[in-house]
Amino acid sequence: MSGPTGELDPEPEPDPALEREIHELPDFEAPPGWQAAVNAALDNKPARRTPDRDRPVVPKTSAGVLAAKPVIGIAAGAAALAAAMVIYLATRRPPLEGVTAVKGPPRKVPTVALIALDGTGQARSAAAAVIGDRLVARAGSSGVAELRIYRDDRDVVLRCRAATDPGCRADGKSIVGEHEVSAPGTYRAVVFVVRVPEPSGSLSVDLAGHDERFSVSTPIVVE
Amino acid sequence: MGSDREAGDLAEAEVLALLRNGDSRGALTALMTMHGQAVYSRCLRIVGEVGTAQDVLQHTFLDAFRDLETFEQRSSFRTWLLGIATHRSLDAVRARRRRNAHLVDADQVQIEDLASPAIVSETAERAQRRRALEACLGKLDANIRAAVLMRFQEELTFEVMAERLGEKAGTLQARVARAMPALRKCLDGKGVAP
Repeated sequence: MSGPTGELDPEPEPDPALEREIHELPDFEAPPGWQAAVNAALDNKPARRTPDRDRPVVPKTSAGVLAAKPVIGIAAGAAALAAAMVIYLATRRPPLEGVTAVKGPPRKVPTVALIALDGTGQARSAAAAVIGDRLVARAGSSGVAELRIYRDDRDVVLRCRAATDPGCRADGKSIVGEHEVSAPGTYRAVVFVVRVPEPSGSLSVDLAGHDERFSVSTPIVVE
Repeated sequence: MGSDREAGDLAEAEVLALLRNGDSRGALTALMTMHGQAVYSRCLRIVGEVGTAQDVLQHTFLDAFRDLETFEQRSSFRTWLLGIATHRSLDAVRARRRRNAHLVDADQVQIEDLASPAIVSETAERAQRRRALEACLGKLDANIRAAVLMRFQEELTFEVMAERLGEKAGTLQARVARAMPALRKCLDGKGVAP
């Protein structure tokens, strides 16, 4: 045990087998819809920014819809969440530029992010890329039926219907698709949660022609 | 794509690139995708209730979004998120303690009864050991449980844990030192041995 000065005791007797078992405990599957609930809370109550560093100090109050008290009262939290969901459903509007677009009910909404990597594998800092870069689309794999990358909202340059498709792979809980850019244009990644027909040649038709839920990434422009 | 470490580094780079682009929502989306399960698991193992764990999970990412643009990369995103989740989970446990002050074992949880992840390749013997370990972890005090998870799941030093939790390193080390023989004894009592 530590003394009054707080100095460290000798390391506890190691138990490597037990330590390894703890280290290798697998993750639990989070209940469906939690990401949509977070997005709904953010959409309905802009978060306040606090100038602080990346130390995980949890404040006594928060501007989030659900975070009024450090006590996560189940009843209060559930009521606030339900209210946020109702407001979100009632007030959904077209997605803003730069914000991941979501269509359909907030439950089981897939998510997708798109970035560009330069020739050395470094992520580019702006939403722009050049020919020869690699575009990397990443989406949660749970419930995802297909991940696509569109060019100019028209041509599908990558399709991941399985992690074994060309340019596609599984990475933990994500499915990742990579495409080496060979033509200029505006690229977007789209993820669908149910099987959709073959690409029609128009992103808007692909999205609007069905009731399936999907997400669209922020675009990347290739000069 | 190389090692898991390289894949993790690349994923972190993706999030940082999104932040540099001013796409905080995209970065949050990527973080939820990459680390949501790990954060939820941390919450569930500390609070022991699915509903509360889901609340804490959501609050963790709302907190993270609020502070995302000031993230200084002093740790990985995963460590940062797990730190927030641990704080929030312990807050929830303290609240439960206050509500259930009349109960002797208000701190104990029963992870073994919760839906556990399906691991196709796992043998029956290994699954039994894992369930037993979850159950034994659940018998620990929540503060001790959190320290054990930070130490052996994240492999943090006691000094880093102390900074993250706002406690003395020696205190945390003592908690872990007490916990390991207790866990071993509990597992022995269940007839399983890692």
